[in-house]
Amino acid sequence: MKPKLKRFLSAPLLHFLLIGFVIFYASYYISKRRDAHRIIIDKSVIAKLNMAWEAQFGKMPNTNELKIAADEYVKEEVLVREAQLLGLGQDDEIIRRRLQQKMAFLLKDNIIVPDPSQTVLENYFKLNANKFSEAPKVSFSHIYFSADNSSNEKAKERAIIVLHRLQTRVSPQRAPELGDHFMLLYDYSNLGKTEAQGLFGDSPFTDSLYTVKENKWTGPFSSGYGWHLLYVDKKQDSIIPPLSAIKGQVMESYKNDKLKEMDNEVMEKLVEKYTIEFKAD
Amino acid sequence: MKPLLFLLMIVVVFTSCNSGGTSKEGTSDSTKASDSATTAAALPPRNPDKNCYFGSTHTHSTMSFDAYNFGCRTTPDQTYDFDAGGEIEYMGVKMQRKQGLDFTCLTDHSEYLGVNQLLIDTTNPLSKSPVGMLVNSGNKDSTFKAYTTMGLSMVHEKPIDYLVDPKIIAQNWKYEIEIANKHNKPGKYTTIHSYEWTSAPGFANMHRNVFFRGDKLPDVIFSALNSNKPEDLWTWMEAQRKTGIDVFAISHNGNISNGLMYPMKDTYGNPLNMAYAERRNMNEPLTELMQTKGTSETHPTLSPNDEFANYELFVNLLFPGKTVPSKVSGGYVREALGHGLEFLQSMGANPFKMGVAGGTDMHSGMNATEEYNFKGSHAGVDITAKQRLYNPLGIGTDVIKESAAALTGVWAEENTRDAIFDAMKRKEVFCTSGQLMKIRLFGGWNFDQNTLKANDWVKTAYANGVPMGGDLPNMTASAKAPSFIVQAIKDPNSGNLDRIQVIKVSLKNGKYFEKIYNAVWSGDRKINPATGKLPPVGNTVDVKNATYTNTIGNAELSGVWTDPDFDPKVPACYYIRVLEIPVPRWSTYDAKALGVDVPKGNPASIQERAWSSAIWYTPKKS
Repeated sequence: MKPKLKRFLSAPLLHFLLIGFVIFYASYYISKRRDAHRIIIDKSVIAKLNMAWEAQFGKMPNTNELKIAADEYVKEEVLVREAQLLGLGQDDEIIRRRLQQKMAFLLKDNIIVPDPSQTVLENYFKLNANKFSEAPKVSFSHIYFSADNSSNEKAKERAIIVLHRLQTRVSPQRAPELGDHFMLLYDYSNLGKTEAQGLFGDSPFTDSLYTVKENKWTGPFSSGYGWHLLYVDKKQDSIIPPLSAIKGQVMESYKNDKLKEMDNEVMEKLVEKYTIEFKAD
Repeated sequence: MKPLLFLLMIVVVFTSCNSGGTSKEGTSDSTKASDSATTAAALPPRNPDKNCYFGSTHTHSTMSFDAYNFGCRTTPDQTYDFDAGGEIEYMGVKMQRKQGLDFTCLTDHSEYLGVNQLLIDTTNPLSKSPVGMLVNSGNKDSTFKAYTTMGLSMVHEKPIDYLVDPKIIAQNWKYEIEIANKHNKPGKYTTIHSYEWTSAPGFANMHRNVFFRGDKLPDVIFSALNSNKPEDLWTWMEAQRKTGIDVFAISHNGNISNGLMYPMKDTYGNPLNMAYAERRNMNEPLTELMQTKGTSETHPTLSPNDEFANYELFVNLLFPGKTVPSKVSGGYVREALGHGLEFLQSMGANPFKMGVAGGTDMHSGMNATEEYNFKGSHAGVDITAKQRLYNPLGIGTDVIKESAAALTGVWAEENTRDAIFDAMKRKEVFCTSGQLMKIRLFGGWNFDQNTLKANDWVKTAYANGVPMGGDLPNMTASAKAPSFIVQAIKDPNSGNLDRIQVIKVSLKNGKYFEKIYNAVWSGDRKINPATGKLPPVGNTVDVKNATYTNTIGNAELSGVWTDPDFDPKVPACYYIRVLEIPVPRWSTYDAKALGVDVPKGNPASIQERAWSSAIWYTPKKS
């Protein structure tokens, strides 16, 4: 043996360290083994068992039932630990997916999107304006001509006569009494096309709401119910409302987008911690 | 060497520090409701006179084991998109409703909820399980076998143990909750959290759908694999309500329950008692009157004098590969309303005091109830016109017996989860065979023909009477008989209206009887004094071209009807049935597309209709 090495091996510090290491590791190993075979049923476990029982059977367990639940818990715990010892969880797809999901939730939960400054929000609004456009809307009054217990042609004829009267003199903006009783409303304000379609059906009347000239009586147009004369007094084309009117909505959308973005960044950073090797064989 | 040793020590110290205690269960992955985003927008004001909202209380996406095995790949996202009026692709076909709906209850089967998604994952050991192999076979017969295997395990109460991990089901339930929350837009379109409890002892369909108010929900849902007895489902729901989770169930397919849906005895064979009646009414305020697998209003053998009883019937049990007729008595709503009154008189409580709803039960992930827009309800089983006209469904009945039905109309103050749930609970709802017809019914003691003339008659009706689903107030001293305001407004995209009928169910010598009155009708038809019947409205359907015209019938029907045969001493209930003029049945559109005749024995045209929930009269105890 070389003297240098001999001196090294007989150095007290090394002995000390070695002995310390052995003692430390042995005690750690024993305590770990003991922990691995200890199942503790404390207050929090009992609370959990009570809750689970109540969820399943609709009442709190009695002493006997609690004992059954605790026995089940012990069995489950033992099986899980034995399975872990054998490494059964390693390649289990369900466990992997659950872990991955939990981690993803954990990452997301830790992201807090700060409130953007007014400038940031304005910029976002400008860039994404189309997301916030509102469908065209229309305000109108109509006169209804029913074909009930009569005929389609007769109803249309009556409508044409009334329209003629309205067009040849100074006419009111609403005149439901010139036609028949209508079962829904005579006047609508700011009605979008989807709602109009729901009320009047997929019909020429619904279409004309958005195409006729304002401030004059027109028609007759047929709907699913009969014939109508129409007076549109306000049309609003598809618009993008000012930021001030929909700030909450824009803020929500900004935060959602930002959350996605930040989530991606966190993921990328995590991936960066790993070296990825592609091997063809 | 030294640094290595040092490193070792550090590793040991580090690991020993880390070994203390088990890691904390991640509790942070709780569902984040996205409601805050949508409630921020201002809602239109609540309408005390109530608005009418349409939706389906029953449908299945690819998350349901059977839908998946039929080949349906419609995701919950797509179900909501479609119902709200959007376009989706279904089995390679672009599908869109002409008119979107106001609300949707996606009721995927709780049994084996979403497990097919695991079975098809080839890295998952479950994909190599017996059912997994069938699912992954790529062969239609085998996937159908997967469906019957899973379905039969429920019928025989022998759950497939490797497919019932409660954690997986809970996780998939959470997924459904998240998607529903994402699509819920208060004031515009509502999604109601719900699922199906699929009990089928001996192939008798005892199914119930379960609905929750708002977004207070249990983590774990009670499936028929927990218990297939309705009484146990009630116990579970009662426990939920105690924890502040409001919930009720809607039963469905009485027509194929083998006479068990509205039984004369409880599940254990005991005679019904007061407690049973109270629990059933509390837990099941509604029953589904129609859906794609038939109508459960009544059957010609139960209602021989009702010329409209033979409507879209589906009469065989869901028995794989076999035709077994379902027992009629005990399976239909009108008879149950009658039996309910009999029980009321004999034991003092009515176990069947229920309103009516409609859902599609389509396993296509779409509530496709428009006759001209129907592409089957069971994906690969009925996606082509040929399959629909000529093929068996594989479970006892031919595909052609499917209906493009049904929907629920709800009278609620606003289009929100709570308002719709509450309206359903108080039974202010009706069932339509799939169209968007609006019907109203109010009962009271002093309505007359003038009531309807006022512009604000609805206010008067609420103030002086009760809407559908209610109990008539105590009879006034001057009253001789109850009167009812009836109104129907057609679906502007469907046929005109033929008639409003009042159907009365009451007792004579302790036994129930039914009587049908024509209350309001279109045109100048006269009731035949000999038969008491109103002549048919006519039929404009051109079968060859699958068209019709609205040259007959009315856009609106309304009136006040007073019971001419009222006996204040016996209980009674009244509901209305509103018929449209005949329109082509979906199979007529298919026949036209194929250039063939409608297969014999099937109607070319149908009279679509709506049924209200009833109003009950109970004599004052003397």
